[in-house]
Amino acid sequence: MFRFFLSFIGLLSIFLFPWWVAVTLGIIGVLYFASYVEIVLFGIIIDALYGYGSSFNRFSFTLAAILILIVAPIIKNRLLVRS
Amino acid sequence: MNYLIKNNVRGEKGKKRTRLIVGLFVIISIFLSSLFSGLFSMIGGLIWNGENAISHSIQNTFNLFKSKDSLLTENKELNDKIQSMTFDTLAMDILREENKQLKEVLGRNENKNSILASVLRTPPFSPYDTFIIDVGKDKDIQIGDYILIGEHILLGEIVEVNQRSSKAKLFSSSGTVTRVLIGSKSIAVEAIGRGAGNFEVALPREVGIKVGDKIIIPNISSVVLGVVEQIDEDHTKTIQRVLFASPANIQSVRWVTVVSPASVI
Repeated sequence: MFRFFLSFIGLLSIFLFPWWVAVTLGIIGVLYFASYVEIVLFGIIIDALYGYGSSFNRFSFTLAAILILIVAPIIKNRLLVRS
Repeated sequence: MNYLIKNNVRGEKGKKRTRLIVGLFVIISIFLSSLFSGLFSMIGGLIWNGENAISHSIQNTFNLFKSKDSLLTENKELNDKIQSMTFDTLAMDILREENKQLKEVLGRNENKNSILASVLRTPPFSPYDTFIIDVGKDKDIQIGDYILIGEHILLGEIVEVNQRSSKAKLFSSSGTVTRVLIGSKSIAVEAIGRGAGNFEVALPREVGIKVGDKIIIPNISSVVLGVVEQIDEDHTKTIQRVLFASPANIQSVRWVTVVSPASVI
């Protein structure tokens, strides 16, 4: 339920609030849930809505979201081991 | 406890399926970026127009609770402002007409076909320093068209056109290079965008520039790009760094004019 709520608010915030609100919610989701793939959806929508051109820069948020999704479990595991 | 292992396998399969779907979605969004852009721009346009309508009606509702005295005071202030602006506008109309007649005598006619557009989104909502406006292919907007505030303050150019909306990149976007004329001597230089309406220019120290100098785009009808706000005062350097900004507050722009480059440059 919380995951659905967070994803819904994140999607809405892309349209209604500055871009960093959705990014923050996405990062919270990645830290809280095991595999929060919705962050990739946030990145795709932000790039589609505000990006332009055909170069790689246009997909910055999508690629960053994928990177966060890959790196987050590694960081979380290391933090758990250390604690 | 075999049933627990079975659930775990099902969970792993579900994760793999989800990753596959997300991966396919990402690949499709990269190869069909224009389709996705049009789709989400359309959804965004509906949401933003609805947001504007709701905020206007809330504002009107709050206005009902204003006291009569405050409304009368506000009314008087606005009337005084209108009167003062009317005199300025009259003077500007006379000058504009004279300017137009002089240009006609010199054989240089202006022909500006402009379209008024409402701004749906500005920075900092947009991370790419772009404007989203509510006109697109329905109003014959083309990639490369310029967006201005009024007729003389240049903001950026159209970079993507959808059916009912368009995206415009600001000239002040970080790293964007624009040819300009600076100061009373109209020195030709390249201005580099620094984001959020700010620009930077590098000039030899001997060049006399002062705060308040205008930066214009060279064309038949001069268009202002910015005004000098700060000059690097380090006298040990041979190059001076001049910082200028758009005279308009980028974040509070609500209406822009879209013109074709042929009518501006």
